[in-house]
Amino acid sequence: MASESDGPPPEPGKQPPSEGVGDPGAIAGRAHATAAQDALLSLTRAARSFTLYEPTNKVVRNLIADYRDKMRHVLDSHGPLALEVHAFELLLGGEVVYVEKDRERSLAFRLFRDGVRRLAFAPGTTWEELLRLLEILSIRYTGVRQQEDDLVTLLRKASFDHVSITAIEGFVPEEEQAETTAPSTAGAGTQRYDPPAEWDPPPPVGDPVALRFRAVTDELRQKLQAQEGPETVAPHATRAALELLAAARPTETDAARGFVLEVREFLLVEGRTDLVVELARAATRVLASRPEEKQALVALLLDAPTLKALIAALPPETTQAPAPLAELLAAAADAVSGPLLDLLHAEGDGPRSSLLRGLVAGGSRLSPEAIAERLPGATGAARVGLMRALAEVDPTAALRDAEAATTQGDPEVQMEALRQLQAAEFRPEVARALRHLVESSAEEVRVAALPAMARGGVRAVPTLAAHAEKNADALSEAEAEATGRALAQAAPRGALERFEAWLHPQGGGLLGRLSRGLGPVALQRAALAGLESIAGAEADGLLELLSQKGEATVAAAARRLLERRRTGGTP
Amino acid sequence: MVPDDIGRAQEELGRAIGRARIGEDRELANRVRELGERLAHLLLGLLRMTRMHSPDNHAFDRPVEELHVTLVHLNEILGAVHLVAVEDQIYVNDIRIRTGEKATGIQELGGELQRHNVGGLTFHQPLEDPAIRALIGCLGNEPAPAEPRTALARALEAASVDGVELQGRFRFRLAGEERQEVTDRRDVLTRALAATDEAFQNLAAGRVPNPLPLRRIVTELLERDLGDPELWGDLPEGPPFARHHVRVARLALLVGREAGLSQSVMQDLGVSALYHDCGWATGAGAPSLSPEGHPTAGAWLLLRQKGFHEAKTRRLLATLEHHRDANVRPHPGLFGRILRIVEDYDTLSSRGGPHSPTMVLARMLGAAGTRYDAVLLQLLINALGAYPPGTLLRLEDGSVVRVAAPTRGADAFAHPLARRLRLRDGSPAPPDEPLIDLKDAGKLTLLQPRA
Repeated sequence: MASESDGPPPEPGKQPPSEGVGDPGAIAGRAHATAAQDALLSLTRAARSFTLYEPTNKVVRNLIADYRDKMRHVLDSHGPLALEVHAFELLLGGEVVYVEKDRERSLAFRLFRDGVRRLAFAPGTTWEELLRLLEILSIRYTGVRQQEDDLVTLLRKASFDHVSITAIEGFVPEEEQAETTAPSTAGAGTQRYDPPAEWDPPPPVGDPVALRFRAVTDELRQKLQAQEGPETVAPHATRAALELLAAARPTETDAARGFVLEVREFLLVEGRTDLVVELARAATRVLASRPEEKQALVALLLDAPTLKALIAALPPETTQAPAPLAELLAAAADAVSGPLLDLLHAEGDGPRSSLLRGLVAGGSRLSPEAIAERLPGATGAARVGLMRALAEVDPTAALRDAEAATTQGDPEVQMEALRQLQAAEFRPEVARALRHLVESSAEEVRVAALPAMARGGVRAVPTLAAHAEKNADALSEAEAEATGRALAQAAPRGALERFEAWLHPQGGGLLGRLSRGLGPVALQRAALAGLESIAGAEADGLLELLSQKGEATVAAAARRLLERRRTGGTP
Repeated sequence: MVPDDIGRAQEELGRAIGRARIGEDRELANRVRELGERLAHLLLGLLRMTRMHSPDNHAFDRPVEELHVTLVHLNEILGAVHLVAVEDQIYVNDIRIRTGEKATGIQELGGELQRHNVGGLTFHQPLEDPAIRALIGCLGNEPAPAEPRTALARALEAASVDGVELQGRFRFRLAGEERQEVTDRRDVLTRALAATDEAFQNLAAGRVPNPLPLRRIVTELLERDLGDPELWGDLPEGPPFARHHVRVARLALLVGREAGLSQSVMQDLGVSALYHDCGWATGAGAPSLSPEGHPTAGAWLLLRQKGFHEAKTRRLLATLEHHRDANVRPHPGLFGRILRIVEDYDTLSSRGGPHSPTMVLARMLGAAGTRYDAVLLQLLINALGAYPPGTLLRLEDGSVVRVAAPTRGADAFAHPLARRLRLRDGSPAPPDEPLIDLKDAGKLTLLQPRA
């Protein structure tokens, strides 16, 4: 009997103890009763666990295992477990073995409310049966109300062999005071509708064939049974949905579409993402001649949660979507590009980021505006993904964004900006953006940006030199060398002049200059690295200077370089 | 990693709860529950007010208006509204009314009705203001000392209250309780007809299908012996269309039983059979429907029920495919093929055709493998026997019998149980004569059905 009420008050004379489960004063101490109490508590906890946790949660796992063990124990150790169900209590042989006043928590109340009056387990109760019972009770605990089934029809469906349930099946007339005159229908009042008299004309019939009893083999029966087995629900549902979609007239489109979406939900719950893809592909074929309907349906079918499920179902580190999915997404690019971008955003540098970038980039009709509107809120790998996607569809907009991104403090984003700036023409805007990168707070960005800055030629020299000089006390070995090489690459002549200046510091008296040697070590390294690519006597002279007066490691490196040049090595 | 027992259990439970969640139309269920609660509370409140005021007092204006509006809304959703008081509970169309944390006295409504020996009220249409006042007035009056329900019905009639039906008192029925044998078995058929007709009328009125009452009927049928002669006699009076559906459901369940279908699938098969021709419920004013169009029309009507459920999918396919030949491609599903057979059998044997049930089966057998699934048709033949229920036979001694039940197995294939209709001299047989086993009846002569 369907019900969702707060239930009746406790029966007179059976007021439950004050609070909570298992009031020791109320529950008998017999071993059987104690074991039953434990088992029922474990059943309650397991059934309720789905209201609090995802089914895959470890807590749920532990509670299910506990339920199995406790039920097994009580049945194996003490034999049949026959429980009387009262509004707030469960009784075993007249003894209270479960009591819970809180209606939300009470197993007894749920059972009582749904019409169950007796629940009995035989010792041979199987794990499958226990699990099925838990499933039915869990559904009731999660508060799901179904129009299709009630507790009693669910229990009947379960066809338990070792669990027996006595339940209210409904109400029937009880005429203790039968009346001689049947109660009159005081005018039904409503207009009846009856189908045409010949609603189904008789089918044609042929010549008779003698009737005989012919045994039908078990094998044939099993084949029939398999046609309505659990695994057939998904293909049946898909078939029905597609047929209705094809048959729908304009007034029926919404109903057909609604059913297709219900089927998709079912397939997702079942984890049959492969069939979701098939359903969507078939739906697009069915609606091929109705492009507007097709577009609308695909947008609904492949909404964000569905796309998320489809992507999540692929193995991690997958870089390419399976062909059916890739084709479907490509054909539905208008509809899916936005959600895919959101997924890319959410994925960050997760294991499916590469796959998502590929899918996003594959959407040829991807709207630049769709990407652009997601950029401001994006950071890290998500932002990088969006930047790359934008570069695919609108390089000009992407470059503008890359220029702007150079001022962000996010090294990952700056590196992507640098990647895009490197490919762009060296315009003043690009130079300005690169200058931001050279001034980045992240060394990896600075080291990577320095060679890019060198593309500016002689115009880049002041920036590069200033970077070295300003940070001479803080430059790492790698950054110093990168700066030197960038200077040499940008303008060898300008670089030589700078190196000369660094190695012959001006200012102060002679004694002072002698005591300071060749200037900061970082500048010596920068000069040495730059001089590697500059030939000529002037460069060799500076190398000689470094080999003689430079910091020990720099001097040694300078000597090795000079040696290579003398023996024919090229700078 | 391969999941263990517990891991598999988690997966199964997760899926089951997921399926349950997508199968509900929460909005509709909540709406019915709210309106049902309001109906019960308003009725009780108005009845209490009759202790202080006459129903034509202005104090009644507002609650009467609210009750009218509530009935209008409930009627839009449910059609006939059944309010039932059973023991200390109140149900509106099988949904139990919440009493809340604090006692609101809703249980008293049952007591108010029971004073008149009434267990429930059925509102076939929304009552208008005067009818509500009259109903409340009549219910608020002292009950008649004798046959108070009948007296109440007469009082309502005299007050021109139209569209309210008084129900007798109810009690809970527990599964497995001692049944009132024959009466109860017949009763399920009466209730099946009523529920099927109501389901059809609701669809015709544009309402959402509510399969639960039909499922309960099917569950009840399945708990009984499908071979019981009491289930195979003439159906109680009822609309022909509903009778057809109940007969088809009975036959479909017989085939399902022979096929060894699970309890769960059998429930769905029975409900599908009770809905299979629902496409004809297009309602007054709808364009006329061709016989070819009603399967698809039926599917659209069934789709008014929101939420995914495998049973709904089975009903949809069964309805869509129940007129398709078994050998067309794509092949119709199992339910569609079963319904094709049993519906044709019923149409030919029970709807005024010229053939006896035996000859109907024999002629259908000629189309086994083409129009009809050969295995399923054979299962029906095996279950019904050479002389299916309803077949008229003349015995060697000249008496006339009607076959009363499906066959009891291969050995009794051509020797069913029968009820004697005419004695050898042509006079009517005593109605209480026990069924005859035709095993020793000698030669049987098939008689044509009466025109």
